[in-house]
Amino acid sequence: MSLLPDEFQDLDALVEEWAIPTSSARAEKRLQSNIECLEGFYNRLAPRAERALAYLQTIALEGMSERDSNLLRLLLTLAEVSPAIEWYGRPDGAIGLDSRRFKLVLELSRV
Amino acid sequence: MKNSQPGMNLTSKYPELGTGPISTGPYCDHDFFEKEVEVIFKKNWLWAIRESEIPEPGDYMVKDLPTLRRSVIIIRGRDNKLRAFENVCSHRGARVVVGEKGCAHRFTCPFHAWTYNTEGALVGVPDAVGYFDLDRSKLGLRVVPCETWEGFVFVHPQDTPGESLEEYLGDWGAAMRGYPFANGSDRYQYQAVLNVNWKVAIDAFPETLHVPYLHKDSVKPTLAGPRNPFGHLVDFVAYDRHRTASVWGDKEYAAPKVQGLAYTHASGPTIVGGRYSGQTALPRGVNPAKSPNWSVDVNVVFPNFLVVISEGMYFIHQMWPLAANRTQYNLKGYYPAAKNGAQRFSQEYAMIELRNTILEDISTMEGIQRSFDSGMIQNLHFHDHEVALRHQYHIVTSLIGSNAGTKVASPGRKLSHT
Repeated sequence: MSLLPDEFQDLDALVEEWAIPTSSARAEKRLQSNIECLEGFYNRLAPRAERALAYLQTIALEGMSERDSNLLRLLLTLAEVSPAIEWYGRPDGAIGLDSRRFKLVLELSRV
Repeated sequence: MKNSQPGMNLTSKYPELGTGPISTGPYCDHDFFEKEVEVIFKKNWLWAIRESEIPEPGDYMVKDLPTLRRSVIIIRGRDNKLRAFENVCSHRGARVVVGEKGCAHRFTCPFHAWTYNTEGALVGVPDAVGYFDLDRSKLGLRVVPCETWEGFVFVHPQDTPGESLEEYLGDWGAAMRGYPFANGSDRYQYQAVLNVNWKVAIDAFPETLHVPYLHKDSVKPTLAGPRNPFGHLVDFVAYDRHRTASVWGDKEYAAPKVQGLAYTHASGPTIVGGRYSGQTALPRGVNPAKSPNWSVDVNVVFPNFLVVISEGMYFIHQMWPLAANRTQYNLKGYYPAAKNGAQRFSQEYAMIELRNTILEDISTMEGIQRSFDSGMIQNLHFHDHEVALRHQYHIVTSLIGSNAGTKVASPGRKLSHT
């Protein structure tokens, strides 16, 4: 059975590595990946992001199915990864500062 | 209406600020810092929480005031009234409440189980017969003055504040009243302890001259594109101790793919340079120049509370000084509640975009502080569009008085121009 909603089954292979449940873990994933790895993920998902968001727009946050929340988690990881691609061309934007010192002590929500 | 690069002459609106170089002494001198704690942080209203964080009777939050080494419990009573108490047991001084928040109708100290009700009265003392002459009526939790403005709950460190919160916020509060703060029910918080003076940390935010350079990879095209190459403000307004720096935004900015999707799916207008629609009714203090090229206002509520307001979202910086060169910095964001998955994605993107931008700001701070601490720079040269920094310096040094080898004006006297 697919890990994602039917229309997005072709992205199933991304789920295990990139459908990450918390903001802190997504940020850590970005910092621990090299830029080629982040680009690979971005290039696979970004072209489908518009369709995926159009789908997620119809899905209430409350009581989401596992497949829908997998898709949302992929998109949330894309939100974390995209500044590395669209802004910096490197995983961590900060120069001369350990960005882990700026700790997320309260997350918006878990999905 | 200003459509192109905003001009000069912000500082000249406030001749009392002067135009001369600024001494670094107040940013690194330890005696000056001790005076700041006594004169500023122990005598002014301090922002604690949003009222919406404790919506139901019995809901409480514990708020630390790190500068004062104090911990305050703020609770909504059964009468729906907010009250604040020192988080100190009258028996041996233990913290009565451990943990950030909860809902309770009584507080029992974990040490020896002295128990207080939601109005702070001491209602339970185990093995009471063993104490000597306890007068329970005098052993309730110490009351902390607590008042609310537009859903922002402030506490006052003195037993009897010299002015009400409304008087304290003054013209700034009146000009901002009516902004839809209450719509921000989804929240997040970042925190860092930085080796920096609290005023240096604040100074990173109410000026945008650094945007074309420090933020060249991130928000330069939105806040200082070719139509505002030097990152000028659209306006600056001083309100007694408080101030508003109004930031330009590029309406013609074309976002890259994922950023653009995040903006499209937001649950409301988010913090995006140049996407100000002009369709939302905003109070007169927001976008004070009524510029069509407005993005956000950076409001500095004296001493340590910054609320950054855009058309539909706001976030907060709060700086808690720990020493002359050490500060606990907090970033809190509040969004309209996400209802669906696409809105949740937009929230996350806006949080990450802001975090990345602020990491760039933070990256300069500790180097600046070391330059001050080492004495390798003693005078700062503020630009016209760094007027918010000059205003902060003026207010702080006016309150503390001449000190630390710094030449500052006495309260009420104008600084001389050089």
